[in-house]
Formats: sequence, structure tokens, C-alpha cells
Amino acid sequence: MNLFFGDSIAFLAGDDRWILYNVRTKTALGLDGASLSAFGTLQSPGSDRLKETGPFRVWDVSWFSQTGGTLDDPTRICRDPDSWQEPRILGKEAFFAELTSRWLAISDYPAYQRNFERPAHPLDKMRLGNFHDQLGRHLLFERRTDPSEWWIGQKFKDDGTVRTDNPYGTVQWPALVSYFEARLTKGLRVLDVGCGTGVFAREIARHGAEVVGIDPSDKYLAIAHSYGTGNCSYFPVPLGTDQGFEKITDESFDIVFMSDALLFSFVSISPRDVVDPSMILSEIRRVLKPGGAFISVEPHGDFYLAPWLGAENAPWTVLYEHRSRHFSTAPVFGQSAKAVLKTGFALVHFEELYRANNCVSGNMRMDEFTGEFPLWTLTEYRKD
Amino acid sequence: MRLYAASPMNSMERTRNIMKVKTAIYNYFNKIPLFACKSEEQKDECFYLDEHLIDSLGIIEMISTLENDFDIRFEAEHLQSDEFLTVKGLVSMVERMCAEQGKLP
Repeated sequence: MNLFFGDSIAFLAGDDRWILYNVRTKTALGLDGASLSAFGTLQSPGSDRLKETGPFRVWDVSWFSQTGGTLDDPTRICRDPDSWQEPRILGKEAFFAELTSRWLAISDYPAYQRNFERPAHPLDKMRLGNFHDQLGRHLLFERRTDPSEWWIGQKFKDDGTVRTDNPYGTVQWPALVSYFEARLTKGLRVLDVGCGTGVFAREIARHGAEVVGIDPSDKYLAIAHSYGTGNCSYFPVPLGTDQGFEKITDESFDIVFMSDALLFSFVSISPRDVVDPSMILSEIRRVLKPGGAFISVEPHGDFYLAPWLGAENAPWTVLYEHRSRHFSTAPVFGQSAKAVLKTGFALVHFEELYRANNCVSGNMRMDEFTGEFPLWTLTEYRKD
Repeated sequence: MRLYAASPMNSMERTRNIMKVKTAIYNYFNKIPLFACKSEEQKDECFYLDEHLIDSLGIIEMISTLENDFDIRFEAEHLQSDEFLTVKGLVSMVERMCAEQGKLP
């Protein structure tokens, strides 16, 4: 039997307590130094059996750490050894089974690889799927929560403003507020594509722009309406289908704004859907006036959902995919920019968004990570 | 009104209960045309998720319907079991849950 270990790392969590972690499956096991050494012997050439007989001390340290929000710690490790339960004491066979069931020692490589395919159906146990597949399964079948309600709660406060205790409020919101401040003038006509509950539409309208928000969700639009419309109007449009923005006339907007929505045209939500960004991009171009702007803020293709590793105040991460999208749900910038430019746009502004200097979430690890690594890109294109 | 079994069920009661559960679950799936047109045998063996007869929101709707109709509660391990994936498996799982929880279907 050949074992594979290429995706696992180990790091010290506390006094004689180690965490063994597969960066792809995000599965982990806590173990003491002696058990880690025994694991190490499995890696010598030709060795596929534990030499030590144990007993081995292990702790369950895995949990779905994004229960509170998509931008919570994506690492899925219970880091603090003080909060670990009592260890389990295992014999040799049980310890080996623990390592293989968590993909820390991989004996069935084809089965391991199958994890990175999209699930055949929502209860497919053989395939982990991408982040949205995993989050959906967690919310629907473990938390038994409606994902659309959960999504609102992880992003907004009850009064409809953006939460300030996570990167929506410490990274994305301040960057957009200052961009809008510099960019928007009174009387502009702005189309917010995928406006959701209208938080950005309202902010854009505050600058005197006339905003039309479109979204496929009647539920979100009803919430948008509940905050008052003012300079905003909202319409349901079946984004993500093969229908365009048929009700919107050609060349009628100065700016099209889109946030956290274009990604779904690159990586489908449902595993069975085939996506093609060219349709929505040509619709965006069609409704823009000559020389009009497409402003796009989207999750960063590399660092959004990348594990938060290192010390609390000295973050580092591990990237194991850039081109493929087995886990990440956002395209890398090269892919999205290529598609937009091909549609007939020119790039006029690009920045990666970090935590704003004066904004803290209250979670030091989150703040240090988002200060060092960008979670979004902000791009402006001009219609050619 | 909830009905609770007063004494352990005999095998005749159990058979009757299986039929009740089966009827209720079949009635649910028969609303899906691609299921309704199957033979009895095909229906029993139907992997309704693999065949994409219902999607993730459909599963949630089905789970809450069965939970309300039978006054039972599906836990994560029920949803992860292979039994949950076929109509026949679902019938025996629901019937067993009713029996274990002392509830009449």
C-alpha cells in the first residue's frame, strides 16, 4: 500500500500539542508529540505501517469555522488547546484509521481526488465539492438554516447597515465608500446588478445618483424596499439565467455597479449548471452609455477563503490552487479581466482591498490577515 | 393531535404502519412527474437524488414535510446514511424512527 501525504502540514498549537492539517480538505487532528513522531515514521520510504504500537493521544480539533459568516476564519481548526476536550487514547489500528478517515494519510488516492469534484447531489458523501457546496450542505443539513436568511445575517445588522465585526465592514465597505466619494457625482444614472438588499444602492444614491437595482431574489428586493427607495428603484431580473436585462433600454446608464455577484458567472452555484460570463457582460455593455463605466468589486481569486495560518499577529497562508477552482468560488483576476476586456471594455482602475487603517473587527487574527492579504479586488472598466 | 403507542407494536401493527409510511412518502414523490410514471419496483429502488428528482431546497421541503407529518426529527446521521438515498430506504427509516420514538405514523 502506497501512502500519500503531500497535502498535510503540522504545526505546534501548545505545550506538546500539535495540529496535523490537510490544507485541501481542511481536515485536522490534534495529537501529542509522540503520536506526531509515529505519524512521521509512516513517511519513510517503503513504510506503510506504524512502527510504534501506541497508545496514541489525539484530539478532535475540526469544526466548520464559517458558521457565523463566509468571511470568518476559513481554516476549520479549533486552535486553542485550552478549549480542546479530553484526548482520545487510541491503539495502533484505530490511530491509523483516524489518520486515513481525515485524509491525513491517504491510502486510496482516487477516492481522495474525488473529493475535489462537484457533488453529484447535495448529500453526496464521496465529494466535498467547492466552498459553496460545503457551506450549503452545512447550512441545510447540519444547521437546518435557510441559506438566504443566514446570508443576510452574516453581512448586515438589523438596521440594514453593513456589519463592522467582519471584513465586509472592515475591508469592503470602507473601500467602496471612499471610492464612491471620489467617483460619484450628482445626476449620474447607476445600475446595481445583483443589488441584494440594496445597501450599496442606497450608498450610491446618497451621492445624488439615480440608482436602479436589479436582483433575482424577491425576498431581498422586499427588504431593499423596506429601507425606503428615495433615489433608488428596484426590479426583479432573473440573473444567472439565459435571459438578459430585457426591460432595460440600451445605453441608458452612466455606471453599472456589481458587487460579489460576477463570480457566479464563472463558478456555478449548482454543480449541474454550466456558466458563461459572456451573456451578462454583453448585457452590461449594452445598457451602458458610450464611455460608461463598469465598476466591479469581487472576492479575490487567491486570498478569499485562503486558510489563516501563522501566529495571530504574524499571518501567513498556503495556496494550493490558482488556476483550478476546486475549492475557491471566485475567478482569479486574470480570468475575469480577460472576459470583461474581450466584451469591449478598457481597464481604467484596479486595486486589491485590504483592511482600512482605522477599522478593526475585534478579532486580531482576522484583522492581521486582512491587513496583509486582500480579500477583494475593485476594478473599473470603461466601455470602449 | 399526536398519537403515542401505548404498548410495543405487534408485527401486524408494524406492517400496517409501514404501509402508512409508504403511502405518505409515495404520495409526496408522486407529485413529481418523473417519479409518478415509474413502475412500483422502479419507485422502490429509485435513487431520487442521483436522478435529480429533487434539488437541495426540495430535500429540505421533503424533510420538513416528513418531520411534521410523522412528528419525527431527522438528525445529521440519518441524512448521511445510505438508506436516505432511496425511496425504499426512506420508507423503512421513517417507519423505524416512528417505532423507536413510540409514535404512530
